[in-house]
Order: sequence, then structure tokens, then C-alpha cells
Amino acid sequence: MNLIISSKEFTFERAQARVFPSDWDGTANLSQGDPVLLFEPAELVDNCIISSAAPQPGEFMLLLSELTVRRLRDNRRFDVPWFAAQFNLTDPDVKKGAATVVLNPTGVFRVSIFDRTNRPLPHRQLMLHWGQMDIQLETDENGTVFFLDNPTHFRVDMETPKIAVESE
Amino acid sequence: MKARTVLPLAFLGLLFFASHADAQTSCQVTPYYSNYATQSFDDSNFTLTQTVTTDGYGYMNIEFCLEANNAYHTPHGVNKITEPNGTVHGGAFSGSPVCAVNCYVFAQNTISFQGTPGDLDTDEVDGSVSCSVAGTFWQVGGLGATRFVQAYFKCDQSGGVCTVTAGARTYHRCNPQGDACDTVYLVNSPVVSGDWPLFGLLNAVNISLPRGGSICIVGRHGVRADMCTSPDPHP
Repeated sequence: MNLIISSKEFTFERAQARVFPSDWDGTANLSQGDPVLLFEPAELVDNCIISSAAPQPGEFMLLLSELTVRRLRDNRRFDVPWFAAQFNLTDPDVKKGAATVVLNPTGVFRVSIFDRTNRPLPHRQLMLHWGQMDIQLETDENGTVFFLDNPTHFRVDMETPKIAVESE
Repeated sequence: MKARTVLPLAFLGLLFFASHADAQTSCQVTPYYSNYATQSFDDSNFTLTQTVTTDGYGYMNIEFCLEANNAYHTPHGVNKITEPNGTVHGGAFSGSPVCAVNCYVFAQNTISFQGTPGDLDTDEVDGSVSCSVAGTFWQVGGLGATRFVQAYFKCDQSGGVCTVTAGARTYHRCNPQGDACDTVYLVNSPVVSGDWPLFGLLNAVNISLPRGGSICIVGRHGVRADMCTSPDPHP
């Protein structure tokens, strides 16, 4: 099955792609063996995902990790940790072995985290929550994380420092 | 006596000896990188020390790859040990970026902590190198590893029994593992009956990301449970 990514704003140059049914832990899927097989990664190269999977029509999730995207209007490249979307595969899609998935993220957003003295906080852990997905990420050396969509669409939690007080 | 067992024993001294032929006539990098871990244990105070190193260089013929002159390579690694109680030591680290053309990269990280005798910890050691133009092009270890999880969860009761906050309900793993599945926020019910039980045996998939971090995807076909003390069928 080939998936072509269509986007007005971005070229999806590289990513690790996983395509799995939304109902991945349903009885029919679990009875076929280890469900991890449904999450086998495939390479995304220049808007194209070539997968050996032969899915049935239905609702699917596309999970992209470690993406490199190029913004068409200024040719700038961005490394983004993840992006996910839902799409449907129809009977004609499955018969011809190819489908187009339209992805129109609202933009690239850089989230930076600072302490109260405006110093960036590197390697700070963030938890994002989107639908049934929970994503654990770390800020980079500059205390930043890139998002390929408006981060206000997600619930974001951040680990808080622990303060230990002991009498000596 | 060694009182702590760390599984799996991390030693990933992998070297890729690809042919130079392709690299001489194309823009492909021939990677000569390695990622390896060393461990030491001081049994006088139960202190475990683990060092993870990613280093090496990538060969590329710059006559065919002019764009490579403007690119740079950055080494990454993961050095992480999780105790059974969910305490996490270490995490992802990166080295300094260097020129892409045949330059040596180096990144190293050491963690050290005092353990508990008899504990069985989970060890994660990964390495990767990313290019400013081509993204991550070399990686070893548990990178991108996917794990099926079937485990017991308990609905959060901090604001009342399993209350909705920002459109979602919060479930905590009864036996946390230090990854994204420890606490999950669910928009849809995780059980077949469609309700929100206090305890549940839930299905999830945990995917490790190459540069650290993980993604947890919870299914909708778990079942109600009566308690939070049983061992997980698929931790």
C-alpha cells in the first residue's frame, strides 16, 4: 500500500511512519498475533510512504516521528519529533493499493521553556496528550521543542522540580 | 556481592562497515559510528554507574556532495535506568554538532545512583547521529522500539472519582515503568463496555522515539478490573 502525503504548506521530506487501524486492539486484530506487528514502521521519503501492509478499508491513524519538513513558502527545514492524523481508507483505495492523505498543519511552532530568570531549561520533560495518545518529549539544549501544529490544541504537562529538605 | 541486576545488559558496540563504493559516487554517508555502554557497581554502598558513549565519523565524497559542506552532524544518545517504583535516572543527551564531512562526533553521558538490593531495573541505551539536512541517518539500540503493553491502570481520584478534566480522564499505571504509558489522559473510554471503571486491564502500545521520549497509544478494548495489585500480563 502506498500513501501519498498531500499538503499545501509543507513537504514531508523524511519521517518514520506508522499506519495502524484506529481499532487496533479490537478482537479481530488481537487474534492475529502480537499487535506490535500493526505498528511496524515504514520510511516516509518526499511525501511518500511505501508499506508492505495490506490493510482493509476503515479508519486509520498515521503516526509520524522524527520528521523533517520543509516549509514551501521559504524553503526552511524543521525537525519535529512527532505528528499524527486520522484518515479513512476506502474500498477503491485498497483495490488500487494507493491513497492520498491530506495533512494541513496550521504551522510550525517553537515552544521554549525558561526559568524565572529567563534562562532556557534544557532536557526538561514534557507530556503531551492528544486523543488516545500520550507523548513524552524532552526539550533540546536550547530548552525548545518544535510542534507541527498549534500546541494549544494539546494538553501539555511539564515535570516540576522536586525540592528535598532534610535536617543535617 | 552484586545486589542489583540490570537487564538487558547494555553493550551495543555496533560498527557499520558499508562499502566505500556507494559513498564515492553518491551523497550517501558511509557511517563509522558506535554506541556502547559501560557499567560499574560499588557493592560497599550499592552505587551503580553507567556511561553511554556515541562516537565515530561518517565518510562522504564531497566532490559529489557540495551541499554537505554546509551541513553538520550531531551525536545523540539515551542513558536511562528506571527503578521498579518508577524513579527514572538519566535520559536523552546530545553532543556538539560538527561538520558533516568526515568529522569526528562524540557524546558521552554518565549516570550514577544508589540502588536498592534485589531490585530489577529497566535499562535503556540508545545512540543516533542526525544530519542538519537529512535528519537522523544512523541509529542503534532500542530506537523506535515498539512494545505491546497489557497492564492494570487506576483512574485518578485527586479531584473526585474519575472526574473529567479538560475533556479527558486520567489513568495511572498500577506498576509504572518510567515511560509515556505511566499516566494517560483518555478522551475515549479504554474498555469495551464504554464506561470509566476505577480499575482496568488496558491495552496500550509504547513506542520509543529515536532521540529519547516515547509515545503511548491506548486502545479501546480493555476490560474492567477489581484491583490494582496484580502483576501485569504484558508489562
